[in-house]
Amino acid sequence: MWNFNCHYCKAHLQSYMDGELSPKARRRIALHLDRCPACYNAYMQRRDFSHELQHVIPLVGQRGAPDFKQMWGAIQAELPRQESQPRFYQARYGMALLAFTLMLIMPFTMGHRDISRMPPSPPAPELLAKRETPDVTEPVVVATIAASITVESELKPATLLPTVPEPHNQESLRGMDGNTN
Amino acid sequence: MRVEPAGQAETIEKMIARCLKGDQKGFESLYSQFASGIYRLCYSLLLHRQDAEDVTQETFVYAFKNMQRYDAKRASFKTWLYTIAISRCRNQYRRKRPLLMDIANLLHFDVPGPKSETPEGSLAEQNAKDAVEAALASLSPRLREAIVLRYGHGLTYREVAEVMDCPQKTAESRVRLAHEALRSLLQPVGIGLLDELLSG
Repeated sequence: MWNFNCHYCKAHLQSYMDGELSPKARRRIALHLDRCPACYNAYMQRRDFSHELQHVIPLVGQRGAPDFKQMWGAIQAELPRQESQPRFYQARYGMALLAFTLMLIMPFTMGHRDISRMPPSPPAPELLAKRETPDVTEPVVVATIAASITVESELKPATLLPTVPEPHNQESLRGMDGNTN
Repeated sequence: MRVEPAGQAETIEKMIARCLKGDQKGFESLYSQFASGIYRLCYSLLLHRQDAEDVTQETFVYAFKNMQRYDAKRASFKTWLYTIAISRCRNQYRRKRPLLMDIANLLHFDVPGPKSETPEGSLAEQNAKDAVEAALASLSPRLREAIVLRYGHGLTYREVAEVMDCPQKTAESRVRLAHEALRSLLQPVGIGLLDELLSG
């Protein structure tokens, strides 16, 4: 007697055997197989056949298998060989790295002097000569030198300063001038 | 999806890592692990010894040359290797149509079975195997691939779908159709006897 359950059962029998159904669908088919002798018969036939296939199909190609070692030799011949870097190159890279490091270190090691403890260096003779004979064409330098001279003059003792006429002397001079005029 | 058991998977991962470093031993280990399975798969699909050997060799050469393309997150190494083998077998079908069975194999030129086997058992097994080969040859390539992967190599439907590059439902229906077709082809031969011989 075929009904909806038989159709459902037939359609899902393979999945049922392979354990690929949900627990609910599995329970439904199991219940139906218990009640329906036709479906149970079909299930048993299918199960036996699947069992046989699982035994027989893996046998196909097992006998008369090729010499796998020989095949491996052929495969190996087609594989790209790992190119090991010669030691010469490694040594060369090492030398280059060493030379680079030395180049970086050299300026610090060869010209090393403690600058903070050294007295300030005296001005170059050229600069002194410039101070004495300022170049008119360079107004900035001239201004700088002039400023330095004024500072130096302030630092000099009073005795060395040029004598500036007193105001009363100036008035007397004016009077003299007026008299003359 | 992983196929290998946890311990074995780790070993395969190590082998792959060695291969990626260019270590020949890694390639050799992977080859010895999978060569037999790949050859069986190729032979079951092509049913010709020389072609199966050629395709097996091509599969490994391609896989080893393109090892950096293998993504362990997407598929297991076995599935990836099977996918390459199936693709090569499909190329072979296109080149060689119709499918020819190996005559030497059918005429039993080289079937020296183990000495422990009884001659009757060996003969029955050989007959059953020949019958299965003939039945497989009569299936369409897609159905043959599905049934061989499912029953010959124990792949799950998900893995079959992955290898055949189709939805899982399609893989399931292909296996079902192949199962039906083989049943109708093999029942007159009386393949049911084989089970008793194998278990005995």
